[in-house]
Amino acid sequence: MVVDKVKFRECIIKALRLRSDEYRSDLKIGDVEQWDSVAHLDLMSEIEQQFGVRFDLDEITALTSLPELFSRLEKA
Amino acid sequence: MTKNVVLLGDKTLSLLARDLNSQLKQAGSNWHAVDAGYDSWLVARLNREGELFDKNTAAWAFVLSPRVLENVPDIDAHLNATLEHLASLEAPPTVLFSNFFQDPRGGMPISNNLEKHALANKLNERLLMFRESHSWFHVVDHVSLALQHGVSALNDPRFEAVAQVFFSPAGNRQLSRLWFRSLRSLERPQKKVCVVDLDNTLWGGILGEDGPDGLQMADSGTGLAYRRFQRALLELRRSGILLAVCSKNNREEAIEALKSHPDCILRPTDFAHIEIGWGLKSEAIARTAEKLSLGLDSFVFIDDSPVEREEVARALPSVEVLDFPSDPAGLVSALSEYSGFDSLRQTEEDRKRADAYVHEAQRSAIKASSKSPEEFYRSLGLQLGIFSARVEQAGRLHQLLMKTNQFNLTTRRISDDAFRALIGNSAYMVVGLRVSDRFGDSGITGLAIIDRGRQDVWTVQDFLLSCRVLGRTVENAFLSWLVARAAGAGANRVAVHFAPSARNEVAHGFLKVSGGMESDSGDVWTFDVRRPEAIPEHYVQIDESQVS
Repeated sequence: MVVDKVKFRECIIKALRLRSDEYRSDLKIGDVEQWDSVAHLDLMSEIEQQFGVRFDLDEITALTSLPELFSRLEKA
Repeated sequence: MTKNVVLLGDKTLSLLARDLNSQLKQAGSNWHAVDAGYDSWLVARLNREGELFDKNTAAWAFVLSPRVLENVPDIDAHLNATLEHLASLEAPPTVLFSNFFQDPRGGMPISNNLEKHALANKLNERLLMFRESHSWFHVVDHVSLALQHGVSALNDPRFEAVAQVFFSPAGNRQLSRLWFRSLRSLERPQKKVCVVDLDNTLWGGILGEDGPDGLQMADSGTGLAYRRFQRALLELRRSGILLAVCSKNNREEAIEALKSHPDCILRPTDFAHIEIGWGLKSEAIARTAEKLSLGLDSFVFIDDSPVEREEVARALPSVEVLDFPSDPAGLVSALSEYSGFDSLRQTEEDRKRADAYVHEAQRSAIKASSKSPEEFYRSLGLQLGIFSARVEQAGRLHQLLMKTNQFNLTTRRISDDAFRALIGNSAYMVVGLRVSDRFGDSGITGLAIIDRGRQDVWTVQDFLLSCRVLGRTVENAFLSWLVARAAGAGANRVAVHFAPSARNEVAHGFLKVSGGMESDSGDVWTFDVRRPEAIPEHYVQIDESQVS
């Protein structure tokens, strides 16, 4: 699908509770304090809801950077 | 001051801790949740140092998932061991314990679940029994959470596998809401009165226009929504919340509809006070508060009219005005989602409170028609039960000690622990009082703590009665009984302590006419056991069979 970048950004900011200046399109888990293993679950859950996708078990563990996440959505 | 609540679970509760803390912080709560980690609920781990016994820790919350029922062999024995351990603590913290539900999504034939549910029910019974005898122990209702949302909506096997969490991020939102409300209910005074409008609130339709036959509260269609709302209000009343009516209508017609409409569930006697007329609703609610002797900040108002809601909210900012659902089918959930009536515990007295107000009105009617006070007292058939306090009643008795202001001779507040220690100390006589009359039993409504460590004099350190039972000569009856009892034990006098406070003038008034001798400093009143006739007359039958 064509991924709406603005929506993607908003979704990440909300799920990880980031300040907007903390957002970078190349963020990965651990780069910011807020993106820890707990917040990762929220992020996966929020993206699934907002973009109508469903990740499998392996993807939940593997999709730990925004570039990976973005391209996964593009392939959906 | 921050109070920590340590989350003890079989799974990781870090999601819960985080969501809970953001809600608690937003609400200005003093609670702060700390996740103790995986398997921290096991009894072997409850002894350890650290956060459990930190000086800021005020509560332990056992947040268990259905997995304990599958993974802990002999969960029954383990739960018992946990409860026994809690009961053995010298100073137990407030404990919140989730009840048990099963995950029905197993691989077994469908009938196999019946036994699993029976196990969960048995454990839940055990929790309720334990709660009965431990005032610091509360049960948080995971079963209702699971029934309301469904286990599939609470748990996601993918997240459970990757992160050892039973409750998924979505499930966790529901879970944290429940725990948030539970913790808040422990630190916030509960609302006491629910004031409801009639037309298009308690029933569908407008009495003045549609007539009684046009009102909707039958067992089907739109009426059912109102009917279910009435049922929910009745449940609220049984839990100790007072109901009141505030409606713009012709009084006679509206009372008649409440009294005899065949579909109406709530009847006039279900309401502690009824205001029906054409004046401002804010004034009617203020009168209700005065009549019930309750502060406006304990009032909640439900009305379908935005104009009325606005008027009340403006004139009486301390009254909580609930949003009204756009569809009457949403009335019941509007009530259950509202947290102001939340309480983790209901005492027997809470459950009787709503009836007590109705009985008081009936007593007033008799009083007005009696020729003399004596005739009134006699017609009530008053009985006073005096009993030696036992540990099981300590919760209620301590609540009385802490809350009673008006008829309280010393207004001495002591900790729950210190109070329990007094009950176990044979130098003291700690007695509770129950008052009943032909209208019903008030429950435990009085307390006295007597130091009988000296042979010659019994000292009453505390004597208090709930204002609900005052003015019926019960106080004289108790004093007479005590003086006779002291005489029987060989004492020659009873010394009653008194300390004036801003609110106990009524207690002072009682002493002034009690027949006792006031000391020069005014803080002790002495009664000579050889002169029991100095104590004013009473009209109460006393039962002392439960005094040991």
